[in-house]
Amino acid sequence: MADIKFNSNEKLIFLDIGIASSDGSWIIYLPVVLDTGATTTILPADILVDLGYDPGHPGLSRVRLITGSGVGYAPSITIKSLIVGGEKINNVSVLCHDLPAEAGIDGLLGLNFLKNFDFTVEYSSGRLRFIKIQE
Amino acid sequence: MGKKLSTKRIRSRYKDEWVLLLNPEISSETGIEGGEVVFHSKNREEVHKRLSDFKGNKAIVFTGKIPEEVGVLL
Repeated sequence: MADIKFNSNEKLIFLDIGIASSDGSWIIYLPVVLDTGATTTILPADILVDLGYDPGHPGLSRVRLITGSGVGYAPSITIKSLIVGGEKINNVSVLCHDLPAEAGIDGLLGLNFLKNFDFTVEYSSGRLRFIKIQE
Repeated sequence: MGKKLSTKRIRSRYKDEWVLLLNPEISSETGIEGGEVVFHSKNREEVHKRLSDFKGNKAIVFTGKIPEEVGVLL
């Protein structure tokens, strides 16, 4: 179980996630927003390249991306693992897309990660709790 | 490499910036707790460009806030 503190006075639910490099030897931690309105986790291409992934590979599928400001396409890539609050999920699909820097984040933690957990948001205590669903 | 600083210290020293940390300390409860500051900038892309200069576990911290008058739809 992960028990994560967040600042309930902020406009969004910010949290730090860890992304494993393609060879699994190191991790980069990034600020993201928990987004139950996003089907898929979103990360910027620059960071995926640094981690040893190839978001520009012509063989990758491109997913139609419907946002508040329009429709586009983004490559989908599978990362080795994603870590939140000490809980790790392997082989997570992410979309490569740069969000505006003004939001103060590098990505979105979407439902394709969240669906691995029963999770609760407690605004009264500023706590997120993730309990992994057993398969 | 830089001296290790706590995230609290980083937030007060580098206001409204993107900060790149090497060898970050991570808490499962609170996330990034601190690390060695190796680069910082007001510009996120500048920080992304410097990522490949540093090997090993890293972290990015944004020390700013969304302005009060701004709404966000992601």
